[in-house]
Amino acid sequence: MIEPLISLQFLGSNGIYRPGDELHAEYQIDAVEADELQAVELSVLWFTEGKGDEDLAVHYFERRVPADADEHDLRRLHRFKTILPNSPLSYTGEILKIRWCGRVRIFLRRGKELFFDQPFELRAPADDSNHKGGAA
Amino acid sequence: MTGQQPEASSSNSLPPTNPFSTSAVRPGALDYRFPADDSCELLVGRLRDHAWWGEVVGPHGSGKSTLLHSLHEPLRNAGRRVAHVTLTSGQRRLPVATGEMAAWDADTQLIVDGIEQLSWWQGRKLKRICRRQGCGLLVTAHVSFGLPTIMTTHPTVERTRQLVSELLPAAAAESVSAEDIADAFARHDGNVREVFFDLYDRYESRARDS
Repeated sequence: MIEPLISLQFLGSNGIYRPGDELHAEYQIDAVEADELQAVELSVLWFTEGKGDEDLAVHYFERRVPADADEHDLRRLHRFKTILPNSPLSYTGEILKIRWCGRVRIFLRRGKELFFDQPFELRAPADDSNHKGGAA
Repeated sequence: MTGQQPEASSSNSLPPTNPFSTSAVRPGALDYRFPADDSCELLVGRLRDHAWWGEVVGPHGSGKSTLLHSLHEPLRNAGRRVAHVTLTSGQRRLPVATGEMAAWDADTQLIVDGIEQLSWWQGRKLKRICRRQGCGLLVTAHVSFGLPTIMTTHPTVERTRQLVSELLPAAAAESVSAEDIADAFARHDGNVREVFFDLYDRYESRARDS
């Protein structure tokens, strides 16, 4: 059986943002019947990675059910935007890393869930020689 | 506590930067590696034979918690409703509300990871409550808690190598050698959790040097 396809794309950005930038993105779901989708959740979050305990916090969240979508079809392209916070900045240390991502989680009938993560970086202004993020 | 789980779940989460990160090696992220003559299904069968009471005994870092997580799905397939409690250092009482215990019944499979954290009295009380409610009780411990032992965990270098090969992405397969694993396994007396910590450092160090 083919797994549903989830795509999430940041718009007008190379995936590097500064604090206060507006992140614009869109997501879409394919390879699944519309009536299979019970809900879709979108999160913009950071999490830690490393040797010790893990931490995670959600910066932006929205949940949509069929009643919220055009023609009750959650598969269709959906756009969202959020202003990114001042911290925590993306960080790559030896024992701890901080990573940011957009996450789309879909809820199917019979309790099945899938999610897709798209990473991005939140860098301090001094670090952003490649910065092409959203407008501040 | 772990209540009713979704039927199935899948994900495309970001691969960890270091394959030995906690997110990749924590219980539930890795499947337990059974010896060739054993399996989850056989273990669930042994538990059923003992009226759903049993214990998994083994030293620190031998995979007891990982094994318990691997048992969730087979237990649910066997009609058990899994309630999972993990006790951490110094937790002398079961962190479960009385009302929640009252809902346990013959279909409930209580799993307590780290039962030796409970005081002797609280351990006895837990057995009494489970007997009264008619629910199953599966525990892990470093030494026997007095339940039927359904498994004793004994990590081996070979099974640890298999786990490491699953963790390493193909592009980084050469970054940790068989000797690295054998060396870490020996230095940590077969504590696989410590072996993963050790390999995390080696991987990090080599990634920075390259």
